[in-house]
Formats: sequence, C-alpha cells, structure tokens
Amino acid sequence: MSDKDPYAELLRLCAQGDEKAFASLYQQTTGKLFAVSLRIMQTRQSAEEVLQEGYIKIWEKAGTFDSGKARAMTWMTTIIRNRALDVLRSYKSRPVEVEAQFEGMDFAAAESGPDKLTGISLETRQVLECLNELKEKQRQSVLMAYYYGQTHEEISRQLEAPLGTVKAWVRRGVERLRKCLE
Amino acid sequence: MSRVKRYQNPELYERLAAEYVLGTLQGAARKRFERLINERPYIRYAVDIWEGRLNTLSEVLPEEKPGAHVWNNIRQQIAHQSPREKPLWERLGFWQLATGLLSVLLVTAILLPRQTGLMPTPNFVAVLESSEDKPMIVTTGMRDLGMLDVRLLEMPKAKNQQWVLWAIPKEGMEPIQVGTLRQDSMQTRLHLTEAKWKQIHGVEMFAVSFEPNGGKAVQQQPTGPMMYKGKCLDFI
Repeated sequence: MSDKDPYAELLRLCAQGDEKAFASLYQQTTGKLFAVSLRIMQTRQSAEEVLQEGYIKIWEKAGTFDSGKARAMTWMTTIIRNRALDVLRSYKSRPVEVEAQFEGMDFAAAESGPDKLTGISLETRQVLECLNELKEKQRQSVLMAYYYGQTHEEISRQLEAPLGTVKAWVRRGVERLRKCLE
Repeated sequence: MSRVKRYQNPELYERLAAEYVLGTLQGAARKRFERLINERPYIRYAVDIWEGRLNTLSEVLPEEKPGAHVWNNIRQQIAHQSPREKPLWERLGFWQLATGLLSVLLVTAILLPRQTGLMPTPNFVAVLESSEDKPMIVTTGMRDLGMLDVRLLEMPKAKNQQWVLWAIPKEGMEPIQVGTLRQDSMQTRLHLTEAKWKQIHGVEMFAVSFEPNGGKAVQQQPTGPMMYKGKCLDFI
C-alpha cells in the first residue's frame, strides 16, 4: 500500500515559486500525465500542447492545491484531463487515428496481480476493484469514456451497440461504482 | 419539475457530476453544469468527490514520454512569471487598485474626449491581464479609422518570440488571429480589413500568445497558451 503523497510537498514548493521543485515535479509526473493526455488527444502534437498548457496551469495554481482534499497526482490529472476534454470537444471532428490507436485497457484491470499494483495508492486500488464489480459492458464504456475521452456516440459505434444502451451502461456503471465506493 | 429543483435532487446531480468528470456530459448540458458548479457549493463538492475517485486512475497508465521541447517551452513561459509568493502589499490588492486606477484613466481618456469630439470614437476596449491579474496591454478598437490600437503597459520578456494578438469569440471557441505586436515600441497600430472587423465583431475577449520566431509565419491557431487575456468592453 502506498499512502503517502510524494508530490504534495513539491506542489507546496511550486506555490512558493521554487522552479527546481517544479522541474522535479515535471520529471516525476510527466510520464503518467502525458499518457493521460495522449490517450484522449490521440496525436502527439496536440497531446504535447495540452500537457504544456496543463503544466503551466499546475505551476500557476499550485497555491490552490489542498492536500487535505485530494492527492497531488489526482489534482494534476484533473487539470490535464479537463484541458484535454475542452480541446477535444472544441474540434469539429475527432482525429481519424482514434480507432486505430485504441489499444484496449488491460492496464486498468484490477486482476493485474499484486506485483503490478506495487506503488499504486489505496484509493486507486479501491476504484479498480469496484470497476471490476461492474458488468463487462458497463465497465468497458466507463473506461473508454475515462481514458479515451470518448462520447456516448463514439462508444456506441465502437461497441456496435445502440446509443440508448450505451447511455444506460454508463449511467448504471457510475451508479454501481458510487455505491461500491461509498 | 423546474430546472432549479431538478438540480437539487442528489441522485441527479451526483450522476451528472460523475458524467461531467467522466467526460460524457457534453455540449449545452456540460456548459450549464459548469455554471452550476460555480454557483452551487454542493454541486462543486459532488464534482470534487468524483474527480477524487476517477482521476486516481492515471496511476495505472503505462508512462509515455513527451518531446524535450515541451519542458523547454514550459520553462521559458514560467520564466516570465514572478514567484508565487507575493509581497504583502501586493497580496493586499495592489493590482486591484492599479486596475481600478487604470479603469478611471481609460474612462477619462476614452469617454471624455469622445463627448467633446476631440478623438475618434472607440468601439471597444479590452485590458489584457497576466495570469497574476496584472494589467499588461490595453487594446482599443476604432472602427471608423479601421484601426486597433494596442498599448503595452509593460514590455513582455519573451524577446525571441512573436507576440500575437487573438480575438476569442467565446470562452472555449477557437481564437481568431488579429495581428502581431511590435517589439520596438510600446504601441502597435493594427489596420484591419473590413472582413476582419466583421469577424471580430462582438467577441468576448482578446488575448496574446507568444509564438515561435525564426521567420516562420504565425500559425492559424496559437501554439501555446494565452499569456495575457482580457474581456472586451463594447461601447457601441
């Protein structure tokens, strides 16, 4: 179990204008946060733009981070994901590569085994375990929306299921997830 | 059920909060919900809870490496910003005071001569501020002259980049390129075509980004974040 928050202190230093702390934070977190951006944006260039804007916002808003409310990585992920989703929704159509690069979501499998879950926080383990309790299609729809920023329509096309059914999968999926996590 | 009452239903706003964080809440519904997040603390709280739940999932992603230029750009951009911890006098609202004074000066400079007919009528004005709410640029549009007057209140430190002015029709919409600012003067006068005036008519805000130099033409869309932004105040 990994309960301590390794990046909270770096964020606190960033809030004081410590550029070295920011460099260290970037170095340690960029791999995960770029992965978040890349899955949603699908092209390296746009994912890098989102990452760049996101880190500048992290630097600017570091003073508003409250370690009592969220883990640092969760807070930073929120900034990057929100920026990625905003940019994505401003596009008239999505880059064509999206389906070709859709490589599944095995990384989010709770049954990955204890060795693979080393260094994963307790919170994340709980979410993975609860996701595992969803019905297969509910879980798949929720993860496609989360990791790839896919809309109901896109999920409907990809899973070859009616739109109404996909909306119900997502709705019931988050409902079950909430009950499990409460 | 009225819309106000609907959003007081915990089951509904909990679900909307989850779908907002997930990203499946879209279009007008997403915008409406974003307004509610700012207006109603219990909805903000529900969103915080879902962000805390779902955004932990980044931890399990296999890492990806961005290009080295990303960090170089970030480093360059934060170098233009002053340290986070501000002196007491500044935290006490120096810039609010400065902005207030600036507004008075603007009203005096723009509206007064306008009434006495000494100067062309400005159609709009926008004070562009840095991310620290520091006023950096004043943009005044004078359509009668076909001219946009851009005055720097402080010279940006980004010497090796082009300073490009954009008009943003609405938050979240694609910016419209207006022109490039001079670096050898605190004032730039941009002469706009009639088509460009129509394009920027009624925009919500103006913004400036720093774009790569080296003789390259400026891209149709900004390559980096907006460094200065300001709402546009229409006079006519």
